[in-house]
Order: sequence, then C-alpha cells, then structure tokens
Amino acid sequence: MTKEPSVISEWLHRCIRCGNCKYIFRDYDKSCPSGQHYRFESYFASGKIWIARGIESKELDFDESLLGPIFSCPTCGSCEIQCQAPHQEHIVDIIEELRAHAVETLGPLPKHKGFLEKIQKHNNPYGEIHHNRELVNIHGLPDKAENVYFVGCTSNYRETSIRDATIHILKTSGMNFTVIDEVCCGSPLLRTGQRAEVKKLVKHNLVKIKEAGAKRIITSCAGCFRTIKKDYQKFEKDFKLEVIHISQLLPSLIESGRLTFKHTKDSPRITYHDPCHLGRHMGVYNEPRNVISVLPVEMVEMSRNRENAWCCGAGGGCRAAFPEFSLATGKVRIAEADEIGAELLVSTCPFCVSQLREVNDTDMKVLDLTELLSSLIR
Amino acid sequence: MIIKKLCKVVGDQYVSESTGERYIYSQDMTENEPCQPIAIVMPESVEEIQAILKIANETKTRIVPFITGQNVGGLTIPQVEESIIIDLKRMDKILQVDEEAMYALVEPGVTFGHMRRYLDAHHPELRYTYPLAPPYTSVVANALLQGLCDLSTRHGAMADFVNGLEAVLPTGELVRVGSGILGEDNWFGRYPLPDLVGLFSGWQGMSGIVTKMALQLFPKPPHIEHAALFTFGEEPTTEILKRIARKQILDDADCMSLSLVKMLLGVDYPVEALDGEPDYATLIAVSGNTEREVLEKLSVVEDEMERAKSKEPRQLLVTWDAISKLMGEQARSWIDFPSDAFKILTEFDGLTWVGTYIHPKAWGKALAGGRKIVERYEFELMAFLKPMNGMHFAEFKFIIRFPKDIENIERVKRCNSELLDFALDNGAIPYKTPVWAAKKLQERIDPQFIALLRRIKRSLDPNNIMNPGRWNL
Amino acid sequence: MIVNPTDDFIGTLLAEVFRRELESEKKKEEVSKWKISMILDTDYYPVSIEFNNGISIIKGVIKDPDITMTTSMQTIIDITRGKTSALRAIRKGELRVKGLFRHPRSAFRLYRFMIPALEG
Repeated sequence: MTKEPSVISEWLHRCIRCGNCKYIFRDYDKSCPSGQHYRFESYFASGKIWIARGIESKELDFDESLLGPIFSCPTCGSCEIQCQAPHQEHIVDIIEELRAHAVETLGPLPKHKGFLEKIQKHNNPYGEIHHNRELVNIHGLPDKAENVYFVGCTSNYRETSIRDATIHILKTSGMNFTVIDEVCCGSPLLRTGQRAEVKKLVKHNLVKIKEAGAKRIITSCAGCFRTIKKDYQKFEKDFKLEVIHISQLLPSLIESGRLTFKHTKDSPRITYHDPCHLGRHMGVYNEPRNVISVLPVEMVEMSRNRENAWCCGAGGGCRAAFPEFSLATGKVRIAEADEIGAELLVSTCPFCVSQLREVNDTDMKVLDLTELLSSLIR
Repeated sequence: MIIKKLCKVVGDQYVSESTGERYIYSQDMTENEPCQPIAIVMPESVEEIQAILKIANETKTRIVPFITGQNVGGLTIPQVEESIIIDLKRMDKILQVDEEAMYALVEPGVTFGHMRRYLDAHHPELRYTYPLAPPYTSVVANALLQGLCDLSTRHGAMADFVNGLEAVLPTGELVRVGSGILGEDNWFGRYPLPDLVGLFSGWQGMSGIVTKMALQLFPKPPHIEHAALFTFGEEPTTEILKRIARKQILDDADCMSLSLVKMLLGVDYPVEALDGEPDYATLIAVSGNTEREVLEKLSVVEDEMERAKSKEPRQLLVTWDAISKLMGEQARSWIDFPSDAFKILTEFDGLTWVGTYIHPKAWGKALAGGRKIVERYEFELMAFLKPMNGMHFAEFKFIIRFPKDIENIERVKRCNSELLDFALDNGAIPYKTPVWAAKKLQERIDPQFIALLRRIKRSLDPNNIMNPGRWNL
Repeated sequence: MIVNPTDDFIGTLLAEVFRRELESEKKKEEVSKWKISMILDTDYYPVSIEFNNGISIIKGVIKDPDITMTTSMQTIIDITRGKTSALRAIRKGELRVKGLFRHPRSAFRLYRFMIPALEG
C-alpha cells in the first residue's frame, strides 16, 4: 500500500463529541448500532475518534480493553451522514486507521486473524476450496470478455443462489462477460485493520482482470464493490477500470428490453434494505429502487432508509468477532421491515442477505435483488 | 470490591473500567483539567440508582453524574480521584405528557432531539423549548443547570420551567418535590409549597440524582415570525435590545457578534470582524394566535428600529422573508429548533465560554469590554447576549472555539480568566460554573451564602459522596 | 463556474445569492462568458465583483470598474422584500448607477442577473 497521510493526525483536533453522530440528523432516531448496543461513550463514533486522539497524542496506550470499542463497529458510516463537523467524511477512515494501529500493536482479533489465515490458504475468508474458475466451464463463459463479473466470496461460497441469479441475469441479457480466477477482494482484511496482505490480493485480481481483457468489473456484492472501486486505487494508482454494482447495470438492461419480466397475479409488499457499502459508502440509493419500481411488487420504505438506513450489523468484522451484537443489530432491521408489513425484504449485498436471513424469525422472505429478478425473468 | 457490587446491581455489561472509557469520560470539550474516574456505571432504573448510591454512601465512594456531557463547563469531570461516573443515558423515557396542564414528565436521559421527535409525533399542539446546542443535550441537565433556550427572552431560564422532580438523595432515599408529592399525574407546579426544587437546581449534581422531572410545555403558536437586526456599536445595540425587550412581545432574542452569522454563512475559520460590517446581529422571534397579532408585534419592533435609525441610519431590520430569499433553504434550518446553527460550534475539539447572567445596566459595557479582551487574545469574536425573562436580566458570554492543544488551552485559560474577572466586576454571575470560576466568584460573594450552601450539602450528603469538589465546596 | 469564497458579510451574502442563481445551467453558461467588473458601494462598505470565467467578490474597490452601483443596505433589503423595485429606487435616487452610458450592455446584463436574484 502506498504510504497514505494519517487521517487521524489530519483531523486530530476536530471532534467535539457533540453527539450528533449518535442519532439521525434532524430526525433524532437512533443511528449508531454499536453505541446503541453497548451504550458507553467509547462505542459511538465520537468515542472512537477520541480514542484515536488519545493514542495519537500519547495520552493513551493500547491495551486489550480498547479492542471492544475499536472493533465492535460495523463501520456502517451512518455517523458520517449525521455528523455536521468538518471531519464528517473521514470518520470511517479514522476508525479503520485506528484498527490498523491496534493490529500493529496488539495483533488482530483471533476471529479476524482467521480471515487472514483462510485467505492465505484458500483465497477466501470462509476457508472453502477455491473454485471460481470452474464457473467458466459450468456456464460456458469465454476466456476473454469486455466485462468481468467479480463474484465475491460470500456469493461464491455461502449465498450461491445470488451468484447463480446474477449469472442468469447477465446471460439472459446477452452481456459479454466472464469470471476470472478471483481471490478475496481484500475487504474483510481492510475493514479489520489487516492491511499488509491486501496488496497481494489486489495485484492478483488486477492481473487476472487484465488477462481477461475486461474494461469493466461488475460486482453483485456491495462490499466487493466498495473495496474495488474505492480502495484499490490506494494500492494501484493507475487503476482506472470502470467498476459497477449489478444494481447500477440493471436499469439499462431493463430499459433496453434485454430483461423482461413475467406477469404475476400477486404484488407482494416489498421493502428495500440499503447495504452500507452500496449506499452510504458509495452513494447508490436510487438504482435498486428504480429496478424494484418496474417489478410486479408493492414497494414500501422502512422508516430509516437510504442514507439513514439501519445497518444489518454484519460488516466491519463484527459478525465473526462480536456475534451477539451483530445479530442483535440485524434483528432490529428485521423488526423494522416486519413493522411495515413487508412480505419480502430485498437487498443488494450477499453479506447483508446472509445476515438478515440468519436473524429472520418472521414469515417475511429475505432475498437479494438478483434472486428476485432472476425468478421473475420471462 | 465496589465494582463487583455495582455489577451485581446493573449487570456486568453496564459497568466499565476500560482504559478508553476512563479516558473519554475524564474530559470534555473545555479547557478544564481532565481527571479519570475509576469506573463508569450505567443504571436503567430508579431502584438501580438507589442501590448504587447506598453502596457509594456505605463505602464513601465519590459519584459524578453524567448524561451527555454537553454542559461546556467541565461539569462532568470528576474533581477528586477515585470517583465513579454514573452515566444516566439509559434512563431515556418520556413518561407522561399532560396535554391539559401542559407538562412532560421525563427521565434524565431524554434529550432535546428526542423531546422534539416525541412531541411532533404525539402532541403536535405542544412544544418544548430548545437551546442553541447540539440536539443531544439532556433536557433535565439543562433545566438543572439553569440554562437558556429559545423561549428564554419571554419565560426566563430553563429552571423556571421545572414543575417538580423526583430525586435519589446521596443516602439512597427517594424524594419528590413539587405538586407531584400528591400522587401521579399531578405534576402541575411547584407552588404553594416550600420550593425544594432549589435543593437540586443549580447544584451541579452535588445534592442527589434527579430521576424524573416535570417540565412545562408550551402551546405551539399557529403563527411565528423571525427577523434579524444588524446593528453597530455596543451601547446602541444594547439600547435597541432593551427598548424592544421591554415591550414584552418577543419570544426570543439572540444578539451575537456578526462573526457568528458569517460562520453560519460558511466563512472559513478564523472569521474576522471587518471594517464597515455591522458589529452585531440579533435574531428575534415573535409569535401569535393570528397573523395580525404577529404583524402588529413586528411593527412595534420596526418602530423601535426606525427610532434607532434616526441616530445611526445603518441600523437595519431584516424580516425573515428577505433572509430566506437571500439565503435560501438553509435559513429555515437556523430557526427551526433544535437549530442546525450549533454546527458552527463544532469546528474544533475545543469549545468554551465564560457564561454569565447579567444586569441590563451592564450589557453594553460587557459587550465592549469583553470584546477588547477577546481581541487581545486573538480569538474570534463570538459574543452572545440574550435578554431573559422579559427584560430582567441577560445571558451574556463570549464563546471560543479552539483546537484543544496545550498552547491553545493555556491561551484560553488566560482569556477566560480575564473575561470572568471583568464579568464579575460588572456584577455578572457565572452559570454552569466550572470550579476555577466558582473560586473566583466565592472570593467576592457574601460568605454567609457559602456557609449556607455547605450546611445544606452536609445535611443532604453527610459523607460528601455526590460530586465532591464541585463549585469549590 | 466558480463563485470565489469571500470573507466579508456582504460578499458572502452575494456569493450565496449568485450560487443559487447559477444553479440554472442556462444562466451559468451565459454568465461564464461575461467580462464585467463592478463595484457595489453600500453605506456599510463597498464590494467589487468581477465576472470573468467565474465570479470573484472582494471587499473594497477595484480600479476602473465598468459599473458602480451606489445604494444602502436598506434599499437592497427593500428590493429583496418587494417593498420597492430597482427601477423605482433608481428614480428616487436610492440606487445610483455609474457607467450606464459607457457600458450599457454590461449594465443591462447585471440588471438582468442581479435584480431577479435579489427579488427571489
């Protein structure tokens, strides 16, 4: 990774701990999953910023008791939306830099270390046998293509129906695409302060994408999307490939008539969960909704939506290291969708979908947008 | 040992001795010296608070109450070592809103933002009143600290809105004061009774922990108008303010250095006062049951401004329709309380002020003298003056926003010290008083007052466990 | 099209008004082609405004402006509130415009840009 200036020292004297990061701006509803669960000041964004400040100014030394506040945050970025201070756009970066310092000093959390070991051994954080390239044979994909579908580990090894639905959509719409011998995009390591190994992953993926002759990368995972589009350029300054999330491609496929849908008798009541990595981190809010609007469904919004959406609780390494907090956060989101009578809770991230399925104790179905679309394709 | 006992009361997950927590709770945005507590405990109920205070009293453990820490006076920083902070933010329920007698019964963790959200959703005819502060400040703390709000020009300090309260005494007993002593659903006022709200109001958490407070709400007026006065000179500005405030038609009037307006308009730090610019901008709010009533009130203000213009033609009244046209949508957010305007105070990690309540005769002198001091220390000019309770007194302060590093902290300390000396010379009483300011105040005031305070404190808190050292007692 | 930030009161107000006015692409395109300099001389203090591939506002006076408008803040506010109009203010001598005959085109452009911006 090219040496970046320290975001902590750049914004060292900015956070006054006014508390605005704790609640939705002008709406006053809760916005911080970590702070809301643990309640102590250090678990809110302002608390983490002040820990960073303490470490940077040497008023505070790292010890084990700091690890909970530093790492039990899904880095959902809602604090960045609610904060009105000059450092507002840099809070997640401050937290991630603090995590990197913590890892340098005390080592990674055991569960997070597991990600690294599995990625080193199997190229994915789930420790599954690496098989991505087999998809080329299974689906009859070309060796080279204009587009690379970057499948992502969660779709490839856990929520495989999202991978299959995405391939179904891309094939049906006649897209010229292939998949590469991809390895983990690096997101689980970047989000948990383990930056050292990421350069290797970035390099491998970019070489493979180049070999495929692709001009564009399509992801179905919000986390991969955020990482490749936003973080890769920190490792490869010349990285200029177009990166899009499948939800950004779909409107044009539908408008051009390359995707058409069955008529159905029922119009199920559907709500949309904005993945943090797609919404707040990358600003994609409208495209998924535009897609949903042409489907035979009744769309209703949850009270906290778009930039104020409540996080599913899975990200930032929380699901592995802080399962109780992570699942409790996801349950809040399920309850919110259930409260408005949704029959379908749709998202655009396999990790969110996986999490929400895990905690769903209602009759409501949790689906990825690609799964929903794939099932409706005529 | 005590930690184990506390864990037994509130559960392990609500007691923290962690390094991070102790660091964060040891300081606030002000220049006041940090002091680390040994632990932080977070109760959820009155019973838990009683149990905690009983343990603390038995073990002579010092307790410092905390809710959101937004007091800008270092008031949640322990003054003695080995203290335990009791964080009340889990007690965040609005227990009752009485539409007829117009009050809300709330727990200490309720913030202004939550009050606004709740009233808008459930009692849209009623409003509470809000300070020019982040929305996440505690309603109860602000009332107990006798703070100000956007109805203070009409109704006075927030402590005046307290109908009664329930508190746990340092020895663990639960007491009530105000009409709520006659049972639930009866928190209509403080009189006719010995006014024991005064045992808690202004005491900075030295006399017990307030667990419930009944606060007056106000009818939301159907018509509200705002206007801004742009004025030159300290004496002329305060003369205009006094004349208008004496008419008793204003809901609110916030007179501030023009720099504060320029900050709102987006001028970058450091904001300077430039030649030819007005010295002060005053935001005024008037309300009424009819549009006519509001327009009549505004016309009274206009008449006063016309009179002022005869002496200084540049004095200017700008009604909100003009400001909205000039400034667009953002203008609305400044007057819709809790106002977004607080964000100008979040430029740095440091913020402080010497806040005082002051006699009307000293307003002009205070603004002029304070300005000289602040200018000498090369801070931005951020004076603020609000006529309170009709026109009986004003809240007066110079705000300083600063990067909280060693050099600035020292400069701030010297500046604030001079500002306080000057304010005391002019008969001003500091509010939300940090200990250093209380010391200066005590050098000048009637010693029998201090003796009385000590006597009351001793009788309520024989082991001196509640926030010892605060107010230099 | 950039409206340069300024640090004085009137300049900041004008910058905000101009920024909103230039949200219209058509107007932005039109104004970006102008090369006009002017002074707005108020009873508070003068500000100079230069249109030259953007708008820059500074406190004080520039040399040889195309147009100089002299007025009071009260008149500006009255125009904003619709209590008077720019034309009426000119007729009453509350708004004086210098350079009208030497730079009629610039004066006309400024009039068409600034007055609707103030009147909202």
